[in-house]
Amino acid sequence: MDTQTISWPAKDLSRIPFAMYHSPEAYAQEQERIFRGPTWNYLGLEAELPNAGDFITTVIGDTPILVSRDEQGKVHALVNRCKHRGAVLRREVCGNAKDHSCIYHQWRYSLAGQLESVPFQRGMKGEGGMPADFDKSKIHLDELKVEVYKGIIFATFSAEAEPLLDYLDAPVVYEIDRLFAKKIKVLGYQRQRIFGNWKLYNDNVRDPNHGGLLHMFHATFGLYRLSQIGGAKLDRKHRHNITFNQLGTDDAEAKEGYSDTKKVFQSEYQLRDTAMLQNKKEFADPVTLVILSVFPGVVFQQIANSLCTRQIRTRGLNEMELYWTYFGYEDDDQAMTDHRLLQANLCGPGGYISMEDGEAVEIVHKASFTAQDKHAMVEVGGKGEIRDSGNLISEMPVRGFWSYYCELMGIEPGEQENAELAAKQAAAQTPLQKAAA
Amino acid sequence: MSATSFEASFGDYFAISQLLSRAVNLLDANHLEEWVDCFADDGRYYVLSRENYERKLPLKLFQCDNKNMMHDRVLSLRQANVVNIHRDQHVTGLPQLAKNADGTFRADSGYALYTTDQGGISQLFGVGAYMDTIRIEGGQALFVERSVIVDTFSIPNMLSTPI
Repeated sequence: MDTQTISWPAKDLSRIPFAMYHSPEAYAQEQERIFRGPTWNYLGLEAELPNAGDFITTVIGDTPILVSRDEQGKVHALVNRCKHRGAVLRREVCGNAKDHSCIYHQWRYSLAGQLESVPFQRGMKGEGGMPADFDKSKIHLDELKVEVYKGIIFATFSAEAEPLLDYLDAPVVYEIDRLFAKKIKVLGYQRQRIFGNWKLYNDNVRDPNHGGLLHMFHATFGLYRLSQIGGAKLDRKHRHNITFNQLGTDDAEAKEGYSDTKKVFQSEYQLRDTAMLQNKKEFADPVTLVILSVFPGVVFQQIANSLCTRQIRTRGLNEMELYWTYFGYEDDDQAMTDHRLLQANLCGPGGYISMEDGEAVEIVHKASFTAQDKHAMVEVGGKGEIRDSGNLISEMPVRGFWSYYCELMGIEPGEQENAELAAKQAAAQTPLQKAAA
Repeated sequence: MSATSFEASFGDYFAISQLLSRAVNLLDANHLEEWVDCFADDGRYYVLSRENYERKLPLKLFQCDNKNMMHDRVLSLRQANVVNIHRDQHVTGLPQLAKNADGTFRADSGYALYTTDQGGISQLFGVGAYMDTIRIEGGQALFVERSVIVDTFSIPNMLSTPI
C-alpha cells in the first residue's frame, strides 16, 4: 500500500495503521528519514574495541557500519563500503588491524577511513592506472558523527541531529548513568531472527502491559507482576521509554486482577533450583527491572542482575534480528559473573521471560498483513495526552514511539483527509462485515 | 582429539549409540520429562552459540548446571512459557569417540534440527554439533555433560525445546 493512502484516524495515535508494518514504501522512507535521519543509533560498547586498531562491524538500519578505533584511540563510525565499487570493506564481525583494505582491488584505508593507497595508481610504463586528476587525499569512507557516552557508542548520519544527551534527555541519561556507572566487560552475544517488521519489536518493548500477561514464567514466580510497583517514564518527546518495577511489592489486589487468567498463582509449580531467581542487590535503589528503549533501535536491560543491550537490526520489511550483548562489570568477582551467566537463562531467544516476544511479533505481522486498511488499537493506559504511567497496566509508550516516528516521516495523524480516508475504508467493508457491524 | 587412539568395546559403542539416539528421539516425541533421564545425577546441559564458543565468551543460550535446572526448564515449557507450536525432527551423524582419563567417553556428533508447524511445513531450525561427556555404568550410558554448539546461532523465532 502506497504510504499516501494509509489513514491515521487518531491524532493521539491510539490507532496505528497495520499497513505501516507491510508497506515497502514506508520501509524505504524509514531507512532514509529515520535510520539515516536525525536520530542517534547504537553501534556497540567501547569495551568491545578497547585497543587501537580494534574494529567491529554492525548496521544502522540496513546500512553496514564499520566501527574502528584509530591509533590515537578515537572511535570512528564509517560506512562499511569501499568508495571504489561499493564492496563490503570489512567482512569480519570483529578484529584488530593496522588498516582496512578492500579485498576486491586492494584499496587501502587508514583506521580513520582515509584512502591511503591504490595499487598501480600510475599504471605501468605510462599505461593504465588512475587518471592524472585522481587525488586519493580527497577520498574518505563515508563517516558518521560519533558520540560516546559512558562507554556506549552512538552515531548519527545527520548534521541536524541534536547533541546526544539532548536527544536522550534527562530520564534516559539517568538510567544510563545507573547501568553504566562502572566499567563493563562483555560476557557474550545472542542473536534472534524474528520474522516480523522491526517496528513491532519497538511496540513490544514499549508495552509494559504484556510483560506480566505473555511472559508467564515471570508472573508465576513473582519476578514481575502487573500489580507490582512500577511504571513507564518517557523523555520530553516520548520517543524513548523506561519501563521499571520493583520485586515483591504487590498485594492481595493482584490475585483479583489475574482472576480471569489461568496461569498465575499456581502454587503447585515450584522450581527445584531457584538460584537463578535471586536478585543480588547491586544498585542503591530497589528497582529490579529496567527496560530502557531508545529510539529507533536499542534497548538497555536490567532484569535482576542480568544486564544487556539489545540492538534491533532491520533485515528487510518482514524480518529483523535482535542482537543481544550481555555484560557485567569489570570489578565483578567470579561468583557474580557466574550469577549473571546463570541469570542469562531468563533472557534472549531461549529466555524464560523473553522467548515469547519473537512469537508475539510474528503472529501480529502474519495476521495484520491481510488487514492493511485497518488499525491496531492502542488504548491501554488511556487515550489523549501521552505521559508517564504510574503502573505497568499501560501501553502508552507505544503511542510515544509512533508520535516521533510520524514527526520524522512527515506524517500528520488525525488530519481531516485521514478521517475521510478512514470513513471511505469503513464504507468499503464487505457485505458480511457490514452485516456483522 | 585423537579418536583412533583407542578401541571401544562393541558393548561401549552400542551403549553410547543407544543414548545418543534415545536423547534426540525423546525430544522429537515431546517426551521432555524422560529426556532428563538421559543425564547422570551430576549431569549438566548447555546450549551455546558457535560465535561465543569460538570467541571464548562464557554466555550460553541454555545453562543447566544440574538436573534440577533441566527439570525446571521442562516444567516451565509445560506450564509457563508460550511456545511456538511445532514438532522437532533431529537428524544426527555418527559419533566420533575418545576415552577420557577418568574413564568417561567423549563423543562428538553433528545434528540438523528441522521443525514442522501445524500445517505440515518443515523448516531447518539449525545445525550444529554435540560435544558430549558420557559415563557408562552397568552397561548403561548417561550424559555427564551435553554441550550443544549451535552453528545456526541467529535463532529463528525462539529456542523453546532443548536441542
